[in-house]
This record gives sequence, C-alpha cells and structure tokens, in this order.
Amino acid sequence: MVQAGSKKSSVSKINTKAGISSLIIFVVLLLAWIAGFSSRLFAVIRFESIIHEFDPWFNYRATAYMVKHGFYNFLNWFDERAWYPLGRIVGGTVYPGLMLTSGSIHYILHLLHINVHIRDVCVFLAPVFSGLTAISTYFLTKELWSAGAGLFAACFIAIVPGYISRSVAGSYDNEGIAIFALQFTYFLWIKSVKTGSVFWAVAASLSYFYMVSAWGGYVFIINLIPLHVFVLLLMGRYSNRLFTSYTTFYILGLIFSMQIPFVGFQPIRTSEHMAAGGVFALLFAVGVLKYMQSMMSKSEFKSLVVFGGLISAAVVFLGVVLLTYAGYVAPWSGRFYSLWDTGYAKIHIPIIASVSEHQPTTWFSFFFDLHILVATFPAGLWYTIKNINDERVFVVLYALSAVYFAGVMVRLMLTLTPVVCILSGIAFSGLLELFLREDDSSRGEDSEEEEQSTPSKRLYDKAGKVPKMKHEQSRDTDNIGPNLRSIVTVVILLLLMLFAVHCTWVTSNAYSSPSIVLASYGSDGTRQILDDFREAYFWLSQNTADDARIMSWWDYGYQIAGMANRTTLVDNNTWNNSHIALVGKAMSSNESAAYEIMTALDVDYVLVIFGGVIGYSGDDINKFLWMVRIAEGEHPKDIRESDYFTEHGEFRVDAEGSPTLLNCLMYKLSYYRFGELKLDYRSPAGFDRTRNAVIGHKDFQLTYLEEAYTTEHWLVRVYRVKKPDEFNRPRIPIANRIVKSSNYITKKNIKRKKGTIKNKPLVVKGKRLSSKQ
Amino acid sequence: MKHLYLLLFFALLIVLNVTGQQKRQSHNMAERVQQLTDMANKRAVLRFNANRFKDFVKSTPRNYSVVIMFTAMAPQRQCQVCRHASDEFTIVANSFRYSQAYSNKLYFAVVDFDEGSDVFQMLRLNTAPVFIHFPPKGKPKTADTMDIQRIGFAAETIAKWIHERTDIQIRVFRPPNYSGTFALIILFGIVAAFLYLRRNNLEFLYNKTMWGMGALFFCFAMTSGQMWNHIRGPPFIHKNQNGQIAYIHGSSQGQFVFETYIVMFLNAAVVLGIILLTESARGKGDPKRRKIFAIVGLILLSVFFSLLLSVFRTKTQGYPYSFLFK
Amino acid sequence: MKLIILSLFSIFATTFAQGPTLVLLDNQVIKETHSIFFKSLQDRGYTLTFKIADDASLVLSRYGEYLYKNLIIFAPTVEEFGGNLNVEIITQFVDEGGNVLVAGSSVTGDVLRELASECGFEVDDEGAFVIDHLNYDITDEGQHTKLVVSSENLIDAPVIVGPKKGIAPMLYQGTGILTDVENPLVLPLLTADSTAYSFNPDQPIKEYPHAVGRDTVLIAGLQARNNARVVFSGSLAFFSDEFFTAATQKAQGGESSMKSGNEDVAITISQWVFKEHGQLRVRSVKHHKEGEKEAPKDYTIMDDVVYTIEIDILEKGQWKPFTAKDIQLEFVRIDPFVRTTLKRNPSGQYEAKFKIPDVYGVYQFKVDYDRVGYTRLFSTTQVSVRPLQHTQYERFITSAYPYYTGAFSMMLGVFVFSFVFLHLKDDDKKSKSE
Repeated sequence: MVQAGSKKSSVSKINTKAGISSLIIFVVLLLAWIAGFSSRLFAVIRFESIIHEFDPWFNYRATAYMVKHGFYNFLNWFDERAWYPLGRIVGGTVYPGLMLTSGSIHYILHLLHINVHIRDVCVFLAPVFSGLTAISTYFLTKELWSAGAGLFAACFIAIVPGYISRSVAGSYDNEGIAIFALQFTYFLWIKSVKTGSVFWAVAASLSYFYMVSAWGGYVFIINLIPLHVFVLLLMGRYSNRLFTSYTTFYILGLIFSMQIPFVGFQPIRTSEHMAAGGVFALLFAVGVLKYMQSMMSKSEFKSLVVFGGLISAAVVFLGVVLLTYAGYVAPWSGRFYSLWDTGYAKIHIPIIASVSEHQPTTWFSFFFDLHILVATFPAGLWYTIKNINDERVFVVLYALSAVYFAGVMVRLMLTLTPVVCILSGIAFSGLLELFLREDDSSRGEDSEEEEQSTPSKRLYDKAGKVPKMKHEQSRDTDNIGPNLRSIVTVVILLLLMLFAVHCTWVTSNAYSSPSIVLASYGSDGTRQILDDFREAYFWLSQNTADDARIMSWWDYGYQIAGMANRTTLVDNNTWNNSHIALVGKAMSSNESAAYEIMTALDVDYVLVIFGGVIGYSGDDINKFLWMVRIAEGEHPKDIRESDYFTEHGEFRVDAEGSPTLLNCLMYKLSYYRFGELKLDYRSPAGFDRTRNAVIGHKDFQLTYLEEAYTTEHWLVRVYRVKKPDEFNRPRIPIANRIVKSSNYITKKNIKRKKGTIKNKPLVVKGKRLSSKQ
Repeated sequence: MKHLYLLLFFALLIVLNVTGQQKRQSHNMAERVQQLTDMANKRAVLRFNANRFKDFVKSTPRNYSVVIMFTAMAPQRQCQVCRHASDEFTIVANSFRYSQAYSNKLYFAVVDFDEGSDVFQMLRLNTAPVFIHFPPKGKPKTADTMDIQRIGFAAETIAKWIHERTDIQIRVFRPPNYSGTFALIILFGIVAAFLYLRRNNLEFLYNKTMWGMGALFFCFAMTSGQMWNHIRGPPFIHKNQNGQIAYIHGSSQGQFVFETYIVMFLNAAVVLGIILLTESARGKGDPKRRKIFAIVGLILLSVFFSLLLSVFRTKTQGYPYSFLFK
Repeated sequence: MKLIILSLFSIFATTFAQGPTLVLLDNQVIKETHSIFFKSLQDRGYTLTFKIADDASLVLSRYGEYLYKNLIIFAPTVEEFGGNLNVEIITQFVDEGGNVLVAGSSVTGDVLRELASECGFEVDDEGAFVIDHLNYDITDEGQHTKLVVSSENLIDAPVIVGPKKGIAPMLYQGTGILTDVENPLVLPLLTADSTAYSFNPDQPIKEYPHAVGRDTVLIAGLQARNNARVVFSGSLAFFSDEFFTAATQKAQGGESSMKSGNEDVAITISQWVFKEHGQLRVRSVKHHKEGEKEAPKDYTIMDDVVYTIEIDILEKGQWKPFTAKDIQLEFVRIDPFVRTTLKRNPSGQYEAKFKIPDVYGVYQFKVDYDRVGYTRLFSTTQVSVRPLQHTQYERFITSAYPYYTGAFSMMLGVFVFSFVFLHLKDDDKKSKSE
C-alpha cells in the first residue's frame, strides 16, 4: 500500500490525490484484516483459546517441543511416543514452516518481554496470517488487473468461508500459513514475469521456499508455474523476461526446496516434479532456437525446428520412461494419482478414501464455501481471457486447474478459494467501476476511481481494448441513465451484503467448532458443553503410568499424544499402513485374537469413542467399516468385510447384526455394560441413539480387558488390557470339565462355621484316645 | 406378454430336451477332470448345456469347484446387464487361466437360458445373470450365490468373491483397454489434420471468445459438481413411493444429476447477467439497446442468483437468508 | 572351626528361611500315619500348624496379611472347609503367591475337585482308583490298585523330583488325575504306566475310563504365572509312613527293592512346591554402548551395545549366581531383530555384545528364561533406537565429487567471465543478463 502511495513521478498536484487513494487502500486493507481476524474468533469466544481437531494437536506439540528444546533438537527429534514401537522421526517427516513461524513469533515477543504462552501464539497464528493473505491477494490482483479489483479480492478472501474453514483461531495447521505463502509466491512470480528482473525471481523462489517448508501443496506451485511458462511458449509469447525469471526461479527453487528434510530428493526423483524440469529444458531449447533464428535462413531453420524438436521430444520422453522403470524416478504417489484417476483411491487405498476430506465435491459445498463468488468468478475469468496478456494467462490456468482439483477433492477447495476471490474481485470491480463512474465522468473530473484505473491502463499491453473503452465512455455522455445505474449499484451492494452475512453465518455455524469440546443445545436454547474428550485424556495423563501405551483408532493419536502425553500406536500421520491395519485387525477381531495382537504390541490401554449415549455420529462404530477395510487390505485371510454385514448386506448393530460384528472387540468395547443403561423412560435399555437401534448383544463380560474409565456422557471409554500374569492359573471352565461334580450346597452359615468331612469317624470324648485335644 | 412367451419357450425346450436326451455314460471323476481340463485349455469359460451341467456339476464325487454364470445372452432376451457381466466374467476366467494359480481345482462355466433352461428350472432361477459357486462338497449355500445387487459384478469383486469361497486367489488382469488411447490418438489426428488444412488461416486459434466459452463451460461443469456425479454415479432424478419426482436432493450430502444441470444453468445465467451489465455500461452501440441489455442483465443476475440461493436454502437446515424468493 | 561356623550358619539359615505352614487333616490320625513326611518338613525349618479341615476357626489371612506361606491339605474327604476357608480363598492365596500341596484319594471331596479344576487338573470320579493289572505290588489285596511305579515315570526335571536314576520304584494307591496336555503351566510330575487306567474297581467297566495309560497322572504340579506352586497328588497314601518304609515287589516281573522311593520323591517334591528349589531372580540388568559405562538416553542405529544381566538362584536360603548355558537375549521390536545366547563372564554375569540393526524404533532387551521346574525368569528393558542426527551423516561422498568439481569450476568460470566482461572493452553487445 505504501508502494501505491509513493508511486509515480508526477509531482505536487496529484500528490494529494495519490495520498488519499493510498490512504483508502490502507484503510480498506486494515479493515479487511481486522474483519478477517475477528470473524475467525467465534470458537475462542464461545469456548476458549484451545487448539482444535486432530492435526493441530500434533503441530502444537511439535511447536512446544521446538520452543523448549531448540531448533536443532527439533530437527533431530525422534518421537518414541508415536507409532509405538516403530517411533517417528518428527524432524524428517514434518513440514517445519509452521512450527518455525510460530516459534519465531514467540521468540520475538519474548525478546520484547511480551510473555505470551506458545499456545496462544499457535491459536491466533492462522487468523493473523489471514490478514497477510488478504494483503498479498491485493498485490497479486493489482498486478493482474487493477487496485480496485485488488481491494475487492482482499476483502473477499478475508471473510470467504472456503478459506476460513482452515484458518479459524485454534485451527493450527499448515494450510493457515500456506495460503499466504501461495499467494505471495504467485504475486512475486507475476511481478518477475512482468519485469523480467532477477530480483523478483529470487524473491519468488524464496517465497516458494517458505511455501515448501510449510505445506505439501507446494507441488501445486511447482506444476502451475511451469504450466504457465509452457502455455506462454505455446502462445508464442516467449521473451527474455520469461527466460530470466523462470530459469532463476526454477534453479533456486529446486535447491531451496531440497533443503527441507521431508522433501529431500523428491524434487529430482518423483514424477510430480518432472514437469518443472521438462519445461526448464524446453525453455532453453526455445531460447536456443530463437537465437538460431536470428542466425539462419528461414528454410534451414524450419527443418532444424522440425527434426530437432521431434528428436529432442522423443529423447526426453524415453529418458523419463526409462528412469521411471529403472526406479530413479518414483511414479506418482497414490494420493497424487487419485487426483487424476478418481476411482483409484476407492479401490486401492482405503486409508485415503476413508478420510472425508478426500471425497469429491458437490455443488452444495462449492456454494456453501464460496457463495456468490462461485457464480461470479466465471465472469471475471471471461474478462481475463478477453483481455489476455502474459500474467493473465497465469490466472486463467490457475483458475482452471484449481477448479478441477476442487471438484475432485473437497479439501482442495482451499486452493480454489484465492483465485475465485481474485476473479470475482475483477468481475465486481469491473461492474462497479463502470456503474459508479457515471457522475464523475459527466463532470469530466479525475476522481479517485480514475486514479485507480490508471495503473491498469499500463497493463493492457496487447489487448488494447480497454483503454479505448475509457475514451468512448467519456464521449458517450448520454448513457443508461442514472436511475438504472443506481438500481444496479444497489442490487450489487445487496448481493455483496448477502455474501457477508452468509460468510458470517457459515463461519459461526460450520467452521467454529473445536471438535474436542462439543456443544449441544437443549430445547429451551440452553447450551450444554460436552467436555468428554479432555476429561478422558486428563484421566489418562493422571492415572496411567508414564510409559503406558494406548491403542486407539488413528484419528485420536495426535490428541492422546498432545493432551494425555502418552504413547500411541497409530496417529493421524498415516505413514505406515500396515501398522494401522494391525490396529484395525485388533479392533475387528474377537477378544482373544485381539488380545494376542495387543500383547504383541504391548498395549496397556484401549480407548474407544462411543457416541450412542448422546447421539454423536462421529464415533468408532460408524468408522468401523473403514477399520475392517484397512485391516482386510493387509490381512485378507483373517478379516473379511462381508462377515460384518448381515445376509442382506446391511451393517447393523442390533440383534439382526452379523455375529462377527457382535463379537468383535470394537463392538464389545463400545457396548460393554450399555445393555444395562436405560437412557430415558421411552426407549428400552441398551438403545443406541446414534444408530437408533437396540443393541443386539447385551450381557457379555470381558475376559482380557477391564473397564478403566468411562466419561460422563460415555463418549470416551478407556479399557485396561490385562497382563498375561493376571491369568495366573489355567482354570478349567465348568463347561469343559470332563468329570462332572455334583453341586454342593453349603451348610455353613453365620452361626455354623464348621465344615463337613465325609465319613468322619464319630469322635466321642473319652472313648478313644488321640482325638481332639 | 413377455412372460407368456418365456413360458412357451420353456415348454418347448423341455420337450426337446426330454426327447433328445441320450443315455449318459457315467464318467468317473478322473475322466471328468480330464475332460474339463481339456475343455478349459481350449477356452477359459466352458459352455454348459443341461447335460453337461448334470455330468460335471450335479454328479458326485467331485474334487473341483465350478463357478457358473447363469445368463441369457441371446439377442431377443435384450439383457444388457448380461453382456457386461459376461465380459467381466470372461476377464476373471482368463486371468485365472493364464495365472500361476491355474489348477484343476476350479472351472468357470456359463449356462445360457436358451441352452439349458431346465437347469434354470432346477435351481429355481428366474433372473439373469446369476453367479453361483458349486463347492466340491455339498450343495451351494446362500453365500455361494454372489450378491450382485449389493456388490456388483466387476471382475475384481468376482475374483474377491471366488477367493472367499474357494481360497483361490485370482489377480484380475484386464486386457489393456486401448480404446481410450485410440480415441485420443484419433482426436489428436483430427485436430492436427484440421490445423494442417487450415494452416493458412489460423486466426481462429486466437479467437478469445471461443477459448473463453470453453473455459467458462469447464468452470460451470466443475462447480456444479459433475465430478461428483462422475465418481459417485447418482440417479438422474429421484422418484419416491408416491410417484412424486424430486429434482433436488434433500440433504447437503448428495445431489442428483438433473439438479447439477439446474445449478449449472443458474450459474451460467448469473454470469451472463454480469457480462451483459458490464457490456451495457461499457457504452457501445445505441443507448436503447444498452438500456435493454442493462435491464436484462440486472434481472438475470438478481433473479437467478435468488433462485440459486433458494435451492441452496432447501438443502441447508436452518439457513436464514434469502433474496427475492424464499 | 570354619566348618562349624559354616554349618551353624546354614542351620540358622535353613531354620529361619522357611515359612509357617498350615496343615489341614481329615483327622488327627493322619498326623501319626504321615509322621516321617511332617518330620522332614519340620527338620527343614517349617513351622507346621495342624488343623482339622472342618475346624470352625480356620483362617488363612488376618487383616489382609497371610498367616501362612504354605498350605498342605491332607484331607481328601473334606466336603467343605471350616471357618472362612473355601476354594475362593485358597485360589486367591495361590494368586497372591502361596504354595499349596494337596493330596486326594479315591474318595476326594467336591471341594478339592473344585480346587483342582481351578488349578487346571481334574480328579477322576469318586471311587475311582488307578488300576494296573501288570504293575501292582505283591501286597495288593486283589484289586490291583496298589501300584508299583517305576522312577522312569517321573517328569524329566531334576529340580522337581530329583535325579531319576537310583530312585527305587514307588508305591501308589489312589485316584487318577486328568490334565490338559496343551497347558504349559501344568506339569505331570508322575504318571502311571501305559497299562494303567483309572476306574472304580468295584464296578464293571461300561464306559471308556476318563484316564488311560500314560495320560493318567498320579501327581500333577502347577507353577502359576506368579510362580506360586501347587502340587496335587491323587494319593494320600503316597506320603504315608507305611509307603515310605515299605519294600516293593512287583507281583509280575518280580522287581523288588528293600525300600520304596516314596520318601525321596515326596521330600524333593515338597522341597520344590515350597520353593526350596528352582527359584531364580534377576539381580541386575545393565546395558550401555561399547566402551562406555552408563546407559545412554537412547541408542543410535548401528551402535555396538553391551548388555549384562546377573541371575541368582536360591540355594539353601541364599541367593547365589546361577549357572546355565542356554540363556538367550532377544532385541525385540514386535519381532526379535537380534537373538543371541548370553555368555557367562568370569565375574558371574551374563553378557552379550551385538550391533544394533539399521532400523530405528522402540526396542526391548528381553530375557525370557522359562525352564521346567524353575521359576520363570522374565526381564524386559525398553530402549529407544534413534536414527542418525543431521550432524552424523557422511559429509563428503565420493560419488559427489563430480558435482563438487562442477560447482567450483563454475565459480571459477563466472569469476573469469565477469573479469573479462568488465575489463575487456569490446564492441560486442551480446550480454544476456547481469
């Protein structure tokens, strides 16, 4: 914003106007920041300043570790409490950008003697960064179109739910800072393409470095930018600017990205990164050709292009194929592959398919997350294509690829959101610029709006249409008429207002639940807080041995580690499928088979989430089929999904349910003693509210486990696994005894304590010797 | 009518069969296995008629499993599903035939209704296709009939089901489908030829309107959830018990195909409205036409967006906002 | 002099090491008829408290403390214990470490059957005797129930029954015991000959006997997982003075000996069941990197590690270093990655040296020494094995030399180029970038 103010050489007279406009820009951006920040605070105000959900707990734990032990110890951190007994090298399997960011903020604040707890830094990091995202979006849009569009885009992205969903206070996750890095990298890249300066290219690669350190989504950048270059080459828009910026960016970006331990050699060894290298080579080839063109005759050049092009294309293609076969270049990873072949994950990788974020997107989600923007951004896209130039090619490609990915996976809605904001900003600013200018242009004066469109004039390098438009407009004094203009303006403002209230509503209702604290509302509107998760984790931290090993489904691994500080077997970092499958197998086997697995893994406690009492639908029984599927993937001999369905192919927990299901560990742990519980006088005992059924297997005892703790609303149930030496004697159960014994009825009572002896010789005192003394 | 025809056919076939039945020599097991293996070497899926079915499946003892697809492939039966099922079944059979696990413990066979209708009668089948596994010992149980209603009949599921029933693991090897590649090559060829023919006039490539339309269409397709349709395959519209037709899926989790077309249309109308508005204000042509443009644009924008909002509202519980329409 | 002190010391030790023992009897007569056995116990330092099994004042524990360490039940016909004693109390006593010696007979009462079942044995039907028509004693009264059992039929474990050789044949008269063969905790201490079976001799055999041949266990032992020991004999007479002192002679085959082996076996078994024999413990476990003294916080992969363990055995009331050649150490992360036999070094410690595998994770040093007759020795020590730190990797790799040369030659080239570019005036204007 400072830049906008201190721009231009035209002195004194315009100076005041430039000052006003930059003040407006500054104020708008500041307000956008504040609005964005405050609309992300619902969760903090309603509940408390707490880390949300699952992954953020790990990030928080890692950050706290880094703050405590220093960066190098963090880098070498071997976490023996996760993935017992495999352990996890945290430093090498994490994108450290997030931890570094909040760690350094914490460090700086402490230097200034502002003693903030690291948790608060973590909680508020994402909302703060949303402001930075808004600013970088402003700059990006300004480079692409105009400052006015930039302001619109900045305001949109500050409050759009598609971005808020990942950046509310407490949602301490990579995406929170990565979107900022993404936008900023794109801004710098556009800048460097426009100027062709090494400086901006280096800045872009530095920003790319930050992005790589922050989020795995950097792959999107390293494919989109080469795509941009490639399309520009196809369009015959090769220039030295492009050459300089891309070569600089690629080389530096490559080297930088390999500095992150988690990324390592991937940029030169995996297919995802190959496109960038190919374009790099192609750019050189084109550069050489252009140079040759100036040296050779036309016919010579033509044949050179044809043969050289064909041969080099064949060589490159064969080279990549050979390298892939030889194993030097890894083929696409499953998660990446599932982006192209959309049915792939469902068949081959249940662990990917089991995550709800990896599902395709309905139109509802698009509208829910973007509201009016989803309907208006194509208009922006239309005008960008109509007035195409080098950098607008980029935004078009960005929009098309992001909209495709967002369609395939719900979670990639996040990458779509910024470009939708940019394009909608362009559409809206285009509309309002034209409809608000009427009064000014009829007066024939330069207004603040006019000033804003000046830089944009410079951008339309090849289009050449829009500048004309302004002339025409000023000539055409007789226009649509002021009434219609104001009606249009009012309608647009109404729509924007609708957008704002929609954003607030969605944020407040859908994206502001910490999910470790639940709230339920009674019929009279009173709010009831269900704090069962923390209750259980606190119990674990206080009542179990420090090195106790807790088995649960992987969703709760990070939370157990973060809140209870206990060893977990699997967690949300789902890197080892076979280990997860082992836990899944334990959960879906019967008790004795599960006990063998649990003793092999030294499990001390088992934790299950059970929502049948309060009607919580995200519990383990509802996730159970995924456990079975994942277990079946690794142990097809022991676990079969079809065993868990009834004959009619239904998954039900009542008396009709399949016997395998009714006897598996997960079922028993969830419903242990549940059959005795009568929730209210209308429903029968053992009525599961989540599945609306009376459970089918009620009075059973656990042999190998015992109930250790159940939280207030039965949401979390903890069981202790008995140790082998608790089965001290090999008792022969009555049913297995060969020799049946008669039922003896005791003759003892409170008064008569004497036992009985068969054929006892009658002892009469004085008759025989050597009897009782 | 169709049933009548079928019945007639049945009767005819039975008569034919009774008269045409030769005296079957009872093979012993080794001979039968030998015969089966010989046949299986020729083709992976054996064709059984009633006699062979009795010889190889009904007769005991056996030491091999037979997986039989009961189908009706004759064109007059008009069974589309059978054809698909048969393709998948053949894939499994071939995968088994050429795999390492190939042995004489498992055979694949097909019984066509028109060749062995009394087999259908015997097993009380009245639908096709049906997959039944005949275990070496005992009669087929309920689980030996594959539940195609629930799990479908993709080759992989058939293989999995066979694995469950017989413990023989078959890795399905699909013959690579070149049709997609072929179509792609032809497409490229056509495009290249077209470009070559028009090489003197390549101006149309710079036609931004065309490119813009394409891009917009792609965006509409994606934002209206066509990808979801592609992956999940929802019904076109929903008909409930009362015969009422629902165009809009009631919950936020799902959608119908028709619904997505509506949404696509609404989105496009809104965009058109904005473009018209912008063009009208941009000031070309006579003012009257521009005025009409502006009004039409405004109406398009506000009305269709309100419609979109109200559709959204019906799918969201407790959504408080609306515009123009409830 | 020294000898005297030593012997004095040993007497001192023995008399005070053994615990108080409760003996439950059918009647006081048994005390007399089994006096040799009781005497030997008393000589070894046990304080015996004799009670009739239906005594109304029977108690095992008071205020949560056990009054006795061991329990002998020589009351086969008891149907219900007196006082607050019952099967549950006795099994609880076993679960908390108490040792029990039970002797039944052909009229074993239900309460003892129940107790046996709780320990993994079953006592044959009431009235059943072990009958062997080939190996009965010459003094048998015609039903062939007084058996002569050769020492070959003893379990192959010197710790429990003493050396098998040189033990005279034993006399046995009583019921048979059924055990679950697959249960590793239950030991058949003495089995009948292959010609024996267990049935009621007064009844015609209409159904298949419950126990036939060598499956007929005469004396069964149990070492529970908490190392409490239970011995169940089907014959009370086995411990009697009469059998101890009797001469044996097989009615068929004619082998004879002057004195039966009952006394030797009964006494060694009583020594085992009351834990005078075969008790092991781990005194200390140490592990460290080779060349260091203290255990590190965690190991790094490929470290050389030294593991030492000291194992003691209880001998005559004293813990002494235990000698064996088959103690193994496992280095386990779900599966054992290293399995090696521990070597005994001169100072009596067992030691193993090995290289940690190139796999990181949380491992356990596991010593699991489980031999028949000995208490189970189980020691695990958990250590984490971490991967290399970022400073521990190789710095200069040979295969990277081309790249090093590339980098340096490039630097040189750029320097020369810029030098030439800046200082050579030429009218060539082909500069691409600065």
